[in-house]
Amino acid sequence: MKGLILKDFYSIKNYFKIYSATFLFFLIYAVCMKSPMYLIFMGMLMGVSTLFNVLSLDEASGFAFAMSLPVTRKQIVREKYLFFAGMIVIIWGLTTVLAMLVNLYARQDLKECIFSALVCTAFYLMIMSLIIPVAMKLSVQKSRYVMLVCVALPCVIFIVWTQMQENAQMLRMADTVMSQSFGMILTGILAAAVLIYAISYRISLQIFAKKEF
Amino acid sequence: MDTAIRLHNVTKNYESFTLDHITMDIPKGCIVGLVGENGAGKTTLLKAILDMIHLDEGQISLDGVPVSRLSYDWKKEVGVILSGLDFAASMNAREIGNIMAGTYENWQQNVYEAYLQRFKIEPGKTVQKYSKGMKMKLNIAVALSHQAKLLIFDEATSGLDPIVRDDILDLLLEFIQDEEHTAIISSHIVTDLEKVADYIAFLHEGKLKFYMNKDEILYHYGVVRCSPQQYQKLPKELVKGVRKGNFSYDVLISAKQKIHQSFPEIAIDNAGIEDVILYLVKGERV
Repeated sequence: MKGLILKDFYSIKNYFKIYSATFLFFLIYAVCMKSPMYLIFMGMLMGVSTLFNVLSLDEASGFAFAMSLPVTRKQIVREKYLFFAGMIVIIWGLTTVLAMLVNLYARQDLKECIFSALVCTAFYLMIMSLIIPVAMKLSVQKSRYVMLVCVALPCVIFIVWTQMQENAQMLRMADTVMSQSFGMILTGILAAAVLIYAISYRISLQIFAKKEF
Repeated sequence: MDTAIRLHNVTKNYESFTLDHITMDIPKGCIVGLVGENGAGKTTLLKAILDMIHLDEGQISLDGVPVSRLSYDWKKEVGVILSGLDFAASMNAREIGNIMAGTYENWQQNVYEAYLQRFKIEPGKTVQKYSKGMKMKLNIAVALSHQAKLLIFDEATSGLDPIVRDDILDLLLEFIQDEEHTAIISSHIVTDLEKVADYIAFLHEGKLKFYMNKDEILYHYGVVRCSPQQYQKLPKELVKGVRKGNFSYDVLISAKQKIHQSFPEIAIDNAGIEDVILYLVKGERV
């Protein structure tokens, strides 16, 4: 499986430069807007989009290349899930550290920044949980549509949240819930993301077991 | 001779194509040439051997063990080149070596580097800058660097110039010096197979039309050029295909020595593998 992980890593290494340059743009924008959440959301979106290239390359060879190697179908699926989870953690680490710096500069609540980063990670983990089996069963292009729909969702939430900010009573309620149940809410969201990821893995195993190349 | 791979009634149904009950034994220490037109089923058959597709009927065994019951790492002794499978364009030979070292427990980095040197492949140069011939040589370097006992090459020489093709065929002949080694090459460049193959399997529209020792084909088959009257006298069980011209017939026969003895006045030309295939596909049935 080490070879498969290396294969995926090498296949996207060329995108690191583009990712870094775009991320720098997001960072500058976040500093100007004093919005660490923007950096977290866009940075992770960009990172996850880069991971699509791994799936695209696999699709180009129909996963047949991996099937010619001494690995089982289960190992191929497992490697994909481990690789994507690992990359999301790395992207989370990078975006969180920089977002915290922006947060310090903007003198905003650090707790909210950390919460946003972790929720965002859980969110993208859930998106990957949908994307991977769709890509394996149907095509990478269809999984991109799934991602578009999923990403539109937080935009809607953001718009609603913005509206809520104008409602002082709702804001006080949100603050109360957050302060009293911060840990529980965060744990619940992360646990749900991991569970959904695990279910997605099982589904992908079944899809891949029947797949022909 | 021991059997490396046994195919028994191998069948795979698709919407518009069927690989139809293929049965053949591939001996160890031999090169089997799989020949057929585009869409004949060559790649499908190779994918069936590699367990990339699920068979509808039949069984494939390696060293007497059904592929479905083999331990997952049976492919560590199989070197594969499948048409259309390329490494990512951004990778270089060094990285590909690292990938393979992490995949094959019997990977031989020194052998791989020796092949890179022999093929003049720069380790740091990315795949996208390679010519088609260099990509194929890189694939071969990978296939031969993990102590493979079975080589499966799908259209490995297609689209390559004669010099590169000759290099690849020489490598195959080197590989087969070990009697435990076996190679299956699919190609529609029949002249390449005539150079190296021990056996020829001809697939046409999913069916195995013949599977014979190459030398026997070349020794026994011939093309008779005769008049329609002479054609009538030929024993029909020996006629495998006929192409009728306005004034003469070209007839593929399967026992040219016998025909020559019986009809010394008739001109008989040697038939190559390509002739045999053309007559079987395009010639009239007797």
